Amino acid sequence: MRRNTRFFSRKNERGSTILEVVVAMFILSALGIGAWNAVGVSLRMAARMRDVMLTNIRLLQLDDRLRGLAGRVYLPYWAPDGIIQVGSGALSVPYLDGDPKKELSLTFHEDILSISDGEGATHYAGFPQVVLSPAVDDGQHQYGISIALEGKDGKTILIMSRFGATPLGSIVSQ
Amino acid sequence: MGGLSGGNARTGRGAEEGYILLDVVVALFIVMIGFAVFLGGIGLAGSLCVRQNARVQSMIEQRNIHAKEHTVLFQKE
Repeated sequence: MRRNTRFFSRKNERGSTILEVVVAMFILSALGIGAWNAVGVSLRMAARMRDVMLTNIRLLQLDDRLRGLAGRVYLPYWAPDGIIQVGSGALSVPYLDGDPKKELSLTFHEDILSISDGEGATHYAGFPQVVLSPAVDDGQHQYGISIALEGKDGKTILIMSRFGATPLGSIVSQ
Repeated sequence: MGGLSGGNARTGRGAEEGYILLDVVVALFIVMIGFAVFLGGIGLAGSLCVRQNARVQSMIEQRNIHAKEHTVLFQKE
């Protein structure tokens, strides 16, 4: 036998009791709070995704730019080891396009990494910490430029680019 | 919403017979479906973003390996 509860019985009543309104408002509030939290989490996640995607785009642009410029560095065979000049937040190497007067320079200042070929500089932001160093092989010979980039999420990404030519001074002769 | 629940909204008899609760339930169900689609879309975009991130990193690692091995080829044994 079907039994009518008070909440669903409307035969002789019109409108809602205060208890029904309170319960309905409680349920709607609980749903609203849950939905609000879900929207907040989703928006934060979307913002984080956007940051990650922008970082990846910048990273690929930086990677292409650095490898392209490093490939234009042609060191002569008499070039000594240790030709890469490394300072605090700066790195430079001459013989860009084989010209000793032209140099490839990288600087990191105030969270902005700049790569310059002497004619134009490209700036990359969004990396809190950048370590510039020569790329060396097992024999400690410099063959390119290494950049260690630390992202906002704490992950470190290493980019090692190769020069267009290997100095003969670094080749082990027999 | 009266049409969805089957209540007679024009006469008001549906509300009297408790069909309005069904209307609210159906409305909430539709809202929840929309919400689930929204959250699912965000989740899908997130997983794509993670995969793209891993792909970019593996691409850079492969280029690093190629740069190092390519130099070794120039060296005399």
